[in-house]
Amino acid sequence: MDKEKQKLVKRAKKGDGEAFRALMADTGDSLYRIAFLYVKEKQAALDLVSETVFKAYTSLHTLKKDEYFQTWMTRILLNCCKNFIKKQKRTVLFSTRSDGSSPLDDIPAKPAASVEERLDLYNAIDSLGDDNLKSVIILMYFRGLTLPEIALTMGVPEGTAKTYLHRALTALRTIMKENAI
Amino acid sequence: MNQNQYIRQFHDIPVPPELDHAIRHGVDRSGPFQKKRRLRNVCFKWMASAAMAAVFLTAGMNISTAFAKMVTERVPFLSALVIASQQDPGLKLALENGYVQQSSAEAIDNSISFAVHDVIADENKITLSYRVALVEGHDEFTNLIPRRIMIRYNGVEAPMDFTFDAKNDSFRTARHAEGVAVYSWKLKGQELPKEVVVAADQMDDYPLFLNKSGSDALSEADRESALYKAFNRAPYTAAGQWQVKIALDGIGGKPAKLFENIRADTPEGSVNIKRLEITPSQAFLLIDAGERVNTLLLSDELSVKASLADGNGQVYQARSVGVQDGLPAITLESSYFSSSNELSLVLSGSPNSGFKTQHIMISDR
Repeated sequence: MDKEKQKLVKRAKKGDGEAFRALMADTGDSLYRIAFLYVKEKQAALDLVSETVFKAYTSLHTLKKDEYFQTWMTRILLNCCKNFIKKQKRTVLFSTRSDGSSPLDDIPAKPAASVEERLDLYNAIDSLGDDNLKSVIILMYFRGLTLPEIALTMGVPEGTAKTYLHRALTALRTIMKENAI
Repeated sequence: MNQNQYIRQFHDIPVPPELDHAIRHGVDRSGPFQKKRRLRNVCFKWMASAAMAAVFLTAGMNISTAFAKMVTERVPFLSALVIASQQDPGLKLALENGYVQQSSAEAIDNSISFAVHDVIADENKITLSYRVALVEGHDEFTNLIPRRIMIRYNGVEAPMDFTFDAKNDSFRTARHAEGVAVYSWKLKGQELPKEVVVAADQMDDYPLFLNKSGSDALSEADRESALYKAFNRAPYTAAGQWQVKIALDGIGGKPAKLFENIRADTPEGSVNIKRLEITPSQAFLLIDAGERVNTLLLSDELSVKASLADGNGQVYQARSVGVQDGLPAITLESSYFSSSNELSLVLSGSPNSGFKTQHIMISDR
């Protein structure tokens, strides 16, 4: 994180809402996309980002290292997502919406990526019952984080993150193989 | 698996324009909590102690007959804004100078009344007193408070911060609740809206809320109720549409008093009052008092506090402290209607800070 952003974090810690909003201008998009991958519904993802912002801004003074702001925000978002899913009490979320449309409609079709290509992992992560496994896949494959970064974001030791990844990949391989049959 | 493909997919997820609103909503919601944490030791007395002030008032407050007549001729009680003004000299002066829009706007729905009585507004914020009363029925409720109060103006909708008085015994028996709602709207040079709409959609009974808010306290019958299914908070919630329109044509038009770049050398170092803007509802101070004093002004312990003092000996306390452009940005009670032409900034240190109190003359005309 550059010095300018660290300054913004310091100002936000003092209660400067504008500074916090400036930080969110960079972070918000990424948080929304992670939330969307979790819940596959626009409004629910927006609610989750709003809740994350509320929780983060309220407890910003507890952030010890300013340079970890983004990691810390992502961790809060993941916890919000997990709570949300717990409340929904279902493991497969929003496979179809009430109006019959698919969440996949929200992803613009690109000639380079066929529907089949987009369907595989994107859909399969919904089948992962364990939220930790879902988090590790989203952070690694969609967010592009490294294993140490994932461990930091999830607040677990690196070894645990590695175990989650291994279990998630094993589960996904099984799911995707079943789908292929 | 091709990771780059997934990362590209991630970035292809379209971000809706509503994201800005969602973020702003999150920040706005946490505003009061931020303030609460930062202002542990700062005086925001009139907001925090409205209940105490109410008891004090009913015990016989020493206010002038003319003032009492002015504030009670419309409704047969002292509104929460008047009560609050006893703890805020700036607000009291504004009311005494007639800088108030009196309203008789009331909305009744579901046998519950929501009314707004006194409104003060300027380019910084709008402050109003509201009252919730049980008109008839609802025998299970004793003291309803709004779940949220929304304000709508110029196409904007936003939640207001508000106080309520649930501790006052007289309110419990009288089956009504009242308080003050505040919204900082930062109009940035625009004129005051001609009209605002203040709205509530759910009311919670405070004693029932306290008794039943834990899920264990809810009975099966509670869970089966239509309100619980609709709002997840029954049986202490009443739903309805309460909205009142308030015209702001009787106030506004008071230009801010602006002081800029006032420098003073003090034994504690050089102080630069970069901007002091005083409007009828608040004073805003941006100050650079050197790195050490700036830090003391911003410290959680607030070991140095800023206040304004006029020639009548009236002191206007700080309400909140924040940061702007890396400098302490302090909101204070307003000295706008002070009859004195003298105004000083007072920086006072706590006993442990080692800071000696400094008076800086701002205006002596």
